[in-house]
Amino acid sequence: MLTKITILILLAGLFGAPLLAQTGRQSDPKVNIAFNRYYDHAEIGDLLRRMEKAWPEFLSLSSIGKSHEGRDIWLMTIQNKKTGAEFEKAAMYIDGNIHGNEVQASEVCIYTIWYLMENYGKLEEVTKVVDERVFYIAPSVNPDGRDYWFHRANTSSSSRSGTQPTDNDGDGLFDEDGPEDLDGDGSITRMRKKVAKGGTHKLDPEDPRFMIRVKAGEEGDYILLGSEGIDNDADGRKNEDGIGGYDMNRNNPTDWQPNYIQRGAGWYPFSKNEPRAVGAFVKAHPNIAAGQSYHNSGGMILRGPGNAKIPEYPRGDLAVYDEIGRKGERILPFYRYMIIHKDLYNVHGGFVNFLAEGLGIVSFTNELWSNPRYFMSKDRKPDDRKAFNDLVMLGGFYKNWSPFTHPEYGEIEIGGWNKWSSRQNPGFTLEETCHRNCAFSLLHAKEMPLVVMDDHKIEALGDGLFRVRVTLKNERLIPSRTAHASKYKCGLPDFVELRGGRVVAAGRVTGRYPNERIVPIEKDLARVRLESGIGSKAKVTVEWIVEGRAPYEVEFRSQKGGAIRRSLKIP
Amino acid sequence: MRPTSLGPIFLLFVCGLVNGLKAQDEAPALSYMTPAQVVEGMRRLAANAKDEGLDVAVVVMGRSHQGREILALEIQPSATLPAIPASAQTKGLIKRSAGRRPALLIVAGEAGDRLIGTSIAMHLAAKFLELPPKESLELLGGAALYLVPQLNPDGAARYFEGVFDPELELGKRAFAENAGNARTVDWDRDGRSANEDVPVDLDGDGLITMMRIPDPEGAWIAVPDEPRLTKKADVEKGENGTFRYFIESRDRDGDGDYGENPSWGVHLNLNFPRGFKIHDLSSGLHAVSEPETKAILDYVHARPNIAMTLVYGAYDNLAKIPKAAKAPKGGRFRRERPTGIWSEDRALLEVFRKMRKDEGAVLGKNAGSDDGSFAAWSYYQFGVPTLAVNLFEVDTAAKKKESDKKKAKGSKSKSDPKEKSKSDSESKDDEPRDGDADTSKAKSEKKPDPVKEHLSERKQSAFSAWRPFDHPQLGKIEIGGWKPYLTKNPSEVVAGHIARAEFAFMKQLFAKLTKVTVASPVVKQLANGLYEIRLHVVNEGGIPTACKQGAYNRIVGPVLIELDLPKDRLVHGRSRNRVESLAAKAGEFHGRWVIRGKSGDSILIWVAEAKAHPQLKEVVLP
Repeated sequence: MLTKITILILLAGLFGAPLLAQTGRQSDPKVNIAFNRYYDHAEIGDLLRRMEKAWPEFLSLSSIGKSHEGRDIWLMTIQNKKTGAEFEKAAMYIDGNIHGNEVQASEVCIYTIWYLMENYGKLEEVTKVVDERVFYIAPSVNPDGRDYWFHRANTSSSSRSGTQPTDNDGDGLFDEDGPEDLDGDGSITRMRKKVAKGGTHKLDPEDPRFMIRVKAGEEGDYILLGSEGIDNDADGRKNEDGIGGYDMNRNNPTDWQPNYIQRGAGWYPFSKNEPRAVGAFVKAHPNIAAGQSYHNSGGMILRGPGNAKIPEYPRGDLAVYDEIGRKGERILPFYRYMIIHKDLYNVHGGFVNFLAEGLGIVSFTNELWSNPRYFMSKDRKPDDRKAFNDLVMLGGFYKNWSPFTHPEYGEIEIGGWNKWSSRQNPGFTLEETCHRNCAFSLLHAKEMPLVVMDDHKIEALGDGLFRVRVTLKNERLIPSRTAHASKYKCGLPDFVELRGGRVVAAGRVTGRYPNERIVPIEKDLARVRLESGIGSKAKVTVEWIVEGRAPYEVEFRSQKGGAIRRSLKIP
Repeated sequence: MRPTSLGPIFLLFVCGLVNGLKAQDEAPALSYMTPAQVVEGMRRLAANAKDEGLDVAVVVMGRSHQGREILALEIQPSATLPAIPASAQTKGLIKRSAGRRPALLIVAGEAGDRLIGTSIAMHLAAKFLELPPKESLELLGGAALYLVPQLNPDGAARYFEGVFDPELELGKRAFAENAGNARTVDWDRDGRSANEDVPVDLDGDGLITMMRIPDPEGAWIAVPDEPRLTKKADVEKGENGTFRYFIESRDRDGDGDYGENPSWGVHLNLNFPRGFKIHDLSSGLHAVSEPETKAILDYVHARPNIAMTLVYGAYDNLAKIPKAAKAPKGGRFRRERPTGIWSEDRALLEVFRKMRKDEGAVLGKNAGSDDGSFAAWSYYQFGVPTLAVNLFEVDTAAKKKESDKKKAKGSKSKSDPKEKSKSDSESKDDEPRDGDADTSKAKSEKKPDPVKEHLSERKQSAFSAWRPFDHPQLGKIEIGGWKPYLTKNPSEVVAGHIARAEFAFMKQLFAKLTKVTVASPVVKQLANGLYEIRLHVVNEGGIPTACKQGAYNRIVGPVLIELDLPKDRLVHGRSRNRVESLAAKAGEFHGRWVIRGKSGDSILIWVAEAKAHPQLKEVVLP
């Protein structure tokens, strides 16, 4: 008995540290970052530099371009150079915060970098994914919009755009009438006015903070005056032309449509600095095989097509999307796996249109934070938000009404939901959102194509001829070329090439023994072109008839499936 | 044959900038200019412009792939526009259009193989600046002229420098025709170093033409009635292929394909966002992927006063005006893209077509679709009337038999692969080239049309006859076909003739630009302290203040008539009146207001349209 306990204690002593790591706890992180709070652009820069300094063998930080106001768009590259060249590994591109107010996206990105590094060498899954893959992570691709949201008064939904002046109301003036934080509480809330006659609303008898609309014929004692602000340009409307006013997630080239069809699209595809910088990076990195863009809110794992006019993705690709998406629903409670145009709305020129439909990259958009998380239940009640504010946030989401003398409306009251109250995670839930979404991305990254040489055989045929047969296998779910990519000829096909000897015939082996068929290759015999790549967990066998006994070399090259070079010796 | 068989190139090498050559009808010959000469010529025009009421400036729009400058030349009256009182400067629409002059934008050289447009545009600029200042100012009528003669300088450079041919002897050149820019495209998508299997000038005649390889398995035959032309064998008609048909080349990379990775780039006239065709290498990876395309879109974005564009290129919407499309669905918030031109805007094109006819300007060929072109973008997305003119194009299609014509009307002809984009032009040789049988036939009997004569002459001379050749890989073959450039660019003498008509045509366009006039307000006292003001606003220009598509796409913007008066003094009528568009010629707005005031009060009325400087009328109450 005693010995058993001793052994247990000994075992615990021996394996204690790895066990801790495997449960995901970091008792002593190398870089301490709090994930229950948010960071502005300068702070993000500091965190990224700290991490780069802590893990220089894996991380390199670069600026892929400048925002309209000249902020750097940071991108962290994560790779293990010892396990292969960057362009010979499948890469995952992750970004967030293209909409300035969708701030938690950046913390998810930062967490992903941090988690991969902290757990490298501790968790086998993490070590493998870092060794096998490359990550390109851009935490905030709209740093102007982000900082504007943090440092200026906003609502939960405002500052979606960048800050390039735009004439939103078509009056020839730029950003001349945005909202004002009249009561100075840091949020743009609502205005109401008590009136003697003609009121449209009255106080809710159950909760006088809120208003209810009066019934027809009933006289109310309040009118609502919309969001906080004044009519700066004296055009009879207020807050109709605030800062920016475009949508950089509609400025991508695939299925781009002008503003009158797609609001916020911009003057032409990639006319805005930030999407153009991201686009240039993606175009220059054909090894990107997976894409992830973080947004808020609603708890969604979205895939394309972006709109109903675009044909549904090929069946082979759908199986891939569905498998990752459905697993994602388990990793991310209260998230639903959805199709953008069908389950949400039509999008032209979205980033996912560009990645998935333009370039054939398996891509998702996650909408972070969802209301069922107020009380961890899908069974939602109408007063969830109020109750969450009062019982869980202890009033932190709501600004009580206070009197204010308005230059146009006279004596009014200002109050209501503040800017943190709906789309952004409350701080204490942020870390969980970061981790679960990171886990989802790592699943996606793991399923990127990984091609290995499964088998090879050299057989003498006599007359100085040899049959060289090579089988390549994609061990993962995502094909080395998606069905979309091969259908529309996006990017380059995969190639498998035999060097050494003179190739006199080549063929692709289809069917299985004993009903094997060999489809002859017509041209470029030594370098066989695989337009549809190597499918999901599939094998491809190629054979060459070669004249000349020599050590042969086989090279497989795939933009997204990596590269293999192997010498084949005659047994 | 030597490279000198390229008529225009030869002329240029020999004569340089030929300006003295006289044609039989006194039209000076027009030279084809290298990109450097275009840039230099534009700068010289700006530098030499007399300072007599005109501002002439060169604007660098951007740079091409190979770093060549892309320039615009801007000509406008130097007279300052009336100042806007400070009180009105905060009013958006007034401020927005302050300082604007309606401009005519002329764009050429989008396709690198059509040099004629560039020469014409340069000619128009030079001729315009030669006019006595009084005349040019009067012509402009307060408007501006912007010219972009060469959007694709890298493409145009091929005409002078030839194409990359690694097998050329030192000092020799090989010429091939292509519209693209200088982007490197991996046409065969084999990931090998780019341009590893470019077409080569096998027979050393300086021209890259086509090869016919005798092969009973081949898919091509000679057109029975016109054996120099080539078409795909129609198996259903019992035709059997007799040869394979490739561009003049060797299989340099040993992959079994011939000349499959030429050194030509992305076609700018496929790279604009309207009608962009995705997943097509000629169109580019995505819309506006090319620096040249981006350059002109940024340029136009900064010049919302551009009221009309004239594009010299492959597409033509005046030779054969496109059919009007069914109106798209569109509510206030959600709008569908139109599938074709609006009937209202089609009517506008009819007017310009007639103008061209009256000026004897070329009404050549409708070379198919405008998808992805600057012209399409200019109309559909920028929303201004857009005239597209194809100045010269030899009909390279096989003659249709009478019986076939009836049968195959509208169906696409399968012929030379190079002709793909032109397949729906199908213009008939025996018909006058402006397509209007009666009038022009009558005219052509009286006076020979040098362009038409040249077209039929070129139809013969621009073809290099098939000659046997011993191919190092394919054995006995024939080499021949259309000579590069000659089917799309006339001789310099004929170019001069075309230029004369184009200048006459352009001169008439300024008067067509929108011209909103505001009649003096009529004031009547209705009672003590109560007045009525009436105002009549009319568009006297030949185009609407916003064409139908310009109003639909919400880019052009309305006409604003604003009474500058405190709310409490306005009894009837609106102080701010928005009119979506004032139609060409007749578009009118009648304003009527009833106001409070007293004798001697001064009231301001603003009229602002999108493309021109706002106008101010002052009313003094009697």
